Formats: sequence, C-alpha cells, structure tokens
Amino acid sequence: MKEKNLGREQCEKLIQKSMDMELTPEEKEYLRECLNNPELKQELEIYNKIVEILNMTKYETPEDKIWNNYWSKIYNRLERQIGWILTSISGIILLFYFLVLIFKNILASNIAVWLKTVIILFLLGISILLVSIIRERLYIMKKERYKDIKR
Amino acid sequence: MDDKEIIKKIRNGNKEAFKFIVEKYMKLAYSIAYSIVGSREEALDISQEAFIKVYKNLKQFDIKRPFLPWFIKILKNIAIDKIRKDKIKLIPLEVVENKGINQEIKFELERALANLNQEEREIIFLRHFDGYSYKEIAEILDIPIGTVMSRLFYARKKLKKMLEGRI
Repeated sequence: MKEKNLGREQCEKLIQKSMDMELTPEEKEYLRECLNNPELKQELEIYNKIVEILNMTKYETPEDKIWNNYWSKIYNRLERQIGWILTSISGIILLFYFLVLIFKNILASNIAVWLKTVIILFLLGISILLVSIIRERLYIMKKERYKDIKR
Repeated sequence: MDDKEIIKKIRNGNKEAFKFIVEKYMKLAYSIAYSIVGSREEALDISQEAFIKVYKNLKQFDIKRPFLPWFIKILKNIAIDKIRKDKIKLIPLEVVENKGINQEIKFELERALANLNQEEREIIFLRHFDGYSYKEIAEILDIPIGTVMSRLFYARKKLKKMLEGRI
C-alpha cells in the first residue's frame, strides 16, 4: 500500500505511532512508503522535535517530603472532618439545650423585664459568634490547607 | 493484591488498605489533576480531596467494575469544578535536560499545552511525561486503545500546529 493510497492523515498517524514504538511490522513497511514523500519526512522531523522537547521537560512535582506526608495529610483531613462533624452536631445540641435551660430560668426569675431581654440578646449574640467562628474555621481548613507550602 | 481485594478490605474498615491504594495512585492522581489545573498546590489539594471523596463514597462503588477509572472520574470532576471560572494560561514546566532548550521554547510549550483541551492535555501528560503505554492509558481512562491513539494524534497535531516555526 503506497502513501498516496494510504492518505496523508493515515501516514501522519503512522508517523506518530512510530514515535511511540507501537508500530506493527506491517505498519513499519507502510511508513517506509510514506516517508518517500519529502513533506511527510519533514513532518516526522517536526514531530520528533516536539517529542524531544517534551522529553526534556516535566511538569512541576512536589518534593519527596510532601509525598512522604501525603497519606498522613489525607488521614488527618478525614479524621478532622469526622471530628468537626461530631463536634458541630453535639455542640449545636448542647448549645440549644443550655439556651433553653437558661431562657427558662431567666423568664422564671424576678429580675426586671428589660434586664431579661438584655441577657437573652447577649446570649443570642454569643451563640451567633460561636457559630460564625466554627464556620470560619471550617472555611480556612478547606481553602488554606497549603498556606505553608512555597508557591 | 488487585484493586478489588483492596477495596473490599477498605470497605471492612482496613486503614492500611486505604493507605495502600492512596500510595499506589497518588502520583497518577497528581499528574492528572496537574494537567487540568496547572498548579502544584491545587493539584495536590485536588488529588487528596479525591481520595477522601472515594473513601466516603466507597459503598456506592460497583465492585464488579475497575476501580481506577471510577477514581479518575471523581478526581477530574473535582478538578474541573475548581477551574470552571479561570481559564489556564500556562502549564508550568521544569527543564530536566538542558540540551538546547531555552526559556523561550519552554514558554511556547507551556502556552501550547495550556491551549489544548483537557482531554488532549491529559493524554500528552500520561504518554510523554508519565511514560504510560497505549494499553496502560486505555486502562487508566477506561477507553479503547483506538481512542487513545486518536486523542494522542489530534493532541500532537494541535501541538505541532502551535509550535511549528517557533521551535
């Protein structure tokens, strides 16, 4: 099968396969025919140049220290996520329980109405702040996990 | 020990089995994530997040199917989700063999890689940077060998078009 019968795209595919050392003996024969065409021969040279450059470069990889700590980072993240879930659920239940308890006591006490209102507002404010801090901690854990890594 | 055996052990609460699967695939996961996001820190973060997600969703995994493509799908979804808003302009590379490769050529390649689509970049990474064979890539991505060849063909053709006359 000659190059003209194979078609240019077929020849290009064979050129690329040859760069990956994946040609069958039959395909090697076809490629030889393809390379009789000077344009395709030039094509092969360009592809070889690209592959050569690709082989001389690599993507950025973490240092060994990071790979050594990779598993423990995952384990810690999993453990912390479970910890945070348990803490949050139990914390919210406890908070709700104590708030109800405190409100009941305040409402039942003989102190002035304005003072009761201020105490209730204060406790509500503290609860909101607490929830906000927990939420912020969770956000930081999620977004800034690699703040200690050099960029 | 094959992946199925390891997955069964993880499902039974074996922490060491989970560690084994993490260490087996961490570099591949990082490579694929890096090919999508082009940042070391993000790729590390995404690859770890993928392992955590896998661990949490292991009960949903069909044990009759291969594990790796399922994991890679989860990983890619997380990575694509992270970069949805920002288009990558460069894929930072390091020169390992300085035989006539100057900063300009490196920059052209970084830019050309960023201009490939995600599937094309992924296949270039797996073939050229990680050195996987067609068969291995087909297994990792759960696609036929013919698709591997055709993706590689079009990715390299695109690279050639972008780099011709510049290298």
